[in-house]
Amino acid sequence: MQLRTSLKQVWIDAKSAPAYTALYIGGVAFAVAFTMVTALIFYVHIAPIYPEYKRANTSYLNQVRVFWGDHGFGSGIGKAFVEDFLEKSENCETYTLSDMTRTADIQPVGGDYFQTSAKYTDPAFFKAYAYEFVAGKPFDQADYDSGLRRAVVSDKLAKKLYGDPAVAVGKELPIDFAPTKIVGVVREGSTICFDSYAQVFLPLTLKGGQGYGMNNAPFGQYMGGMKGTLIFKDKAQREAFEEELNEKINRVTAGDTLNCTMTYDLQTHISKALLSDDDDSGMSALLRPAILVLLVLLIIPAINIGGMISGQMDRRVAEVAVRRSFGATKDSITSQILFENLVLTIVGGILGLVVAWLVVTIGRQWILNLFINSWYLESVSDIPVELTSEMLFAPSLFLLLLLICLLLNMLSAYLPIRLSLRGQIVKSINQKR
Amino acid sequence: MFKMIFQNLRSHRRTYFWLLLELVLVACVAWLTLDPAIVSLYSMSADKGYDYDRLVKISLAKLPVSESDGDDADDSADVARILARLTEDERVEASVLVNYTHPESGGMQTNGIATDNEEVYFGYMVILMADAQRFFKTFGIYDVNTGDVPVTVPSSTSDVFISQMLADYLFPGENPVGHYMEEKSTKDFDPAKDNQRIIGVVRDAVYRSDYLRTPIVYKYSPSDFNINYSNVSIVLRLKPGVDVDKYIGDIAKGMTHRFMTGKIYPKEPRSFNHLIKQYSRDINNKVFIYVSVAIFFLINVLFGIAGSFYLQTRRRSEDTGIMRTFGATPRFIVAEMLGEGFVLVTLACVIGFTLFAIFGIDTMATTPSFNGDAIASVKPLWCDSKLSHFAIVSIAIYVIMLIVVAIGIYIPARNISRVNPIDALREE
Repeated sequence: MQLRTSLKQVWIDAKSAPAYTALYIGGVAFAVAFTMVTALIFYVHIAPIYPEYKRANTSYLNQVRVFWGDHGFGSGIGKAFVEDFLEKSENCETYTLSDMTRTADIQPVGGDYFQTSAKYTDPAFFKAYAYEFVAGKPFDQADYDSGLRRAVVSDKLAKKLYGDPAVAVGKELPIDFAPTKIVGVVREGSTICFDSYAQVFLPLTLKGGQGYGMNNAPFGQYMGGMKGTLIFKDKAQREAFEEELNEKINRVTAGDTLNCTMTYDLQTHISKALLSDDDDSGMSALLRPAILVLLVLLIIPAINIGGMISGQMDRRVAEVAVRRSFGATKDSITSQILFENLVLTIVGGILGLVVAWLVVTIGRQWILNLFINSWYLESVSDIPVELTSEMLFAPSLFLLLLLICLLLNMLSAYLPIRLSLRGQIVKSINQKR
Repeated sequence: MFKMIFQNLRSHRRTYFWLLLELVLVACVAWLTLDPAIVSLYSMSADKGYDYDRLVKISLAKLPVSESDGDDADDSADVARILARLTEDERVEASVLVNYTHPESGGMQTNGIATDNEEVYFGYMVILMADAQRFFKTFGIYDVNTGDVPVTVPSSTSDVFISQMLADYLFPGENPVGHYMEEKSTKDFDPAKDNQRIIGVVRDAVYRSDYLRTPIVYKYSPSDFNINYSNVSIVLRLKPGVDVDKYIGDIAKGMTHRFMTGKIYPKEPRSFNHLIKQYSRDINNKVFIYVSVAIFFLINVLFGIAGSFYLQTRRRSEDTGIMRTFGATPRFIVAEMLGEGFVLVTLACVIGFTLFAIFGIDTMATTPSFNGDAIASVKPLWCDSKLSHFAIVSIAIYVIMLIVVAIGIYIPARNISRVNPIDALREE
């Protein structure tokens, strides 16, 4: 097959049937745009994005539950859980404890108060997440243990308050009306990374009561108000951690007179991003039919395009018959027509990708969190979503686009072309078209 | 014309086979996607049962305290003063203190009762009130009999108001006022014990936008309004004609310092429209996703139909040219082609809906209701019955597909119908 001749043929055919070409390219662009928008939405929540570069190996320990008889009690994890089960584990690269992101009142000097998003956490948070410090450093373990009011703020917040983020370190800022010393300034992340996002980071020891147990439940000392984020080396280490945790829990609950069972939720980041909820009544129930629909997402446009190609082949029967009479094989004709369609498909695919980028960029505030439960986004929903090049221009997305184009082309074009080549040459030439 | 339609369908069967296949798939997928969207949109558009248009919620918070600070009584007095000062504004019609249990709240309290007639555990929402009359007046929740704010004042914390659907469920055909909720419990009822006495029935209200039907018990419980332990907020009803967004913009300026009393300060004024938007975000997203997928497939149908008819233009021009020489009008020709499309859609829908009825009938969407199955017996909706649900949604999908196909066929059909009969004959 000669490339230049084929491309010339494509151009001539496109000019001779502009409406057909427009419909074909439009159909492909539409299908690709829809698929790529969906892919982008999942991608930004799964791929490594600043500061969550270790998403593939991140898991969340959100809840501990105790059951006895007809009773049950559930809560976040408590101090005793951390001391007995997490601290001494060698099957975890690092872990950090935090509260869910909430709002905090900031009152700048000479200005009216405003609200910002705040996260109460521990010093290990800045090891688990790759926040870049533009000035200062995180609050250290001594500050944390002493319950001193120290804060790390984002560069955007520091700029809003002081003009230059670098001068913010050492300043005292009323946060929730309590004077708090700024010890570090970090480059602000995107609200898409809502597990790690905040504009103010404060020591968890300031919250008070987070680590303390629940008195009215058996093994209540293991419950509290904290959430654990665990970073593992790989899947094997995660599995080893789970095995170790189960063993420790069994040892603690063995011989309990009430026959209590203690369970926990350890969810990987990927399953959380895909399912977005722990139980079926949440967004996960939405995603199952949506995934089923996505499976036929490409089949319907392929059938569409297949029908159009079938009609187009009717018009080219005589041309193809003449070529066959000069010795062209079915395979060479098939590959040439497939190539011609592939060119149009790629043009449509590129157009679709551009449309997808435009849709995601313009609608980023709501579209990127379309599958995320609003409960996770309560404190960040009003903050503008920042899009970065690492979110939009990833090589894997381009590869996905190419794959979609190839798949669409094969699904839609192969069968109609082979079916149209079945007729006898003489009959095809004499067919009035 | 019908004979001609079927003849044409037969003669172009190879092309139409793809179209029919696509239409059948789209009919099935449309059911999976449009059904939950239609049911969700219906839920969102339902009457909320209270007047939320002019409601504003203002949260209260407390400054960090030390051991030498005042006690709870000071806090209650400070909260009351802030409430009074906000209510003094000439734009405010009514006001009330609320905690985490109120319409469009992020929190909720639930309870339930096991009834002896069905042995079903009937769950309901609980709204706690600091001042009953003030609560009903501010929210615009009225007595079902008088149509006005309930006048009965609770004499103790055992006195409750219940919503109409709860009354219909527990006391069908009776007036429940004066009765006790626990009378209908499967456990032995003892009037001497601490029971909840019904002192009024109010019209149904939607607790939160992600629920359509919510049975509610309104309980007088002033002890649950301690700012140290509960999320205490203020809800204001503005007067008619007051611009809510403008009011919020005005009140928010310097609000913390203007209204701070003791250690208590107000913050975050938000309209109930904003809260409804916030809590209905998940359901709106769900509707958006389903509708988007449905539109995606329907646009593909549009492309497919338009493409197929466009490709037949040359061949059909000759045929239609001859028809025109025999007296067929362009309108007849367009109608004939539209007829072909409608027959295809009808056939596809019959096949597609039958397939769905066999394999997917159990996936039909249900309305988001608290205690859905029990509620359906007292407040049934069209989507509770499988038959009416299937019929209504099938008709809606059929009409949508007819419209899409008609749009796809019309332009190529019009082009085909305008061929000059002389040119067509010369070609022949």
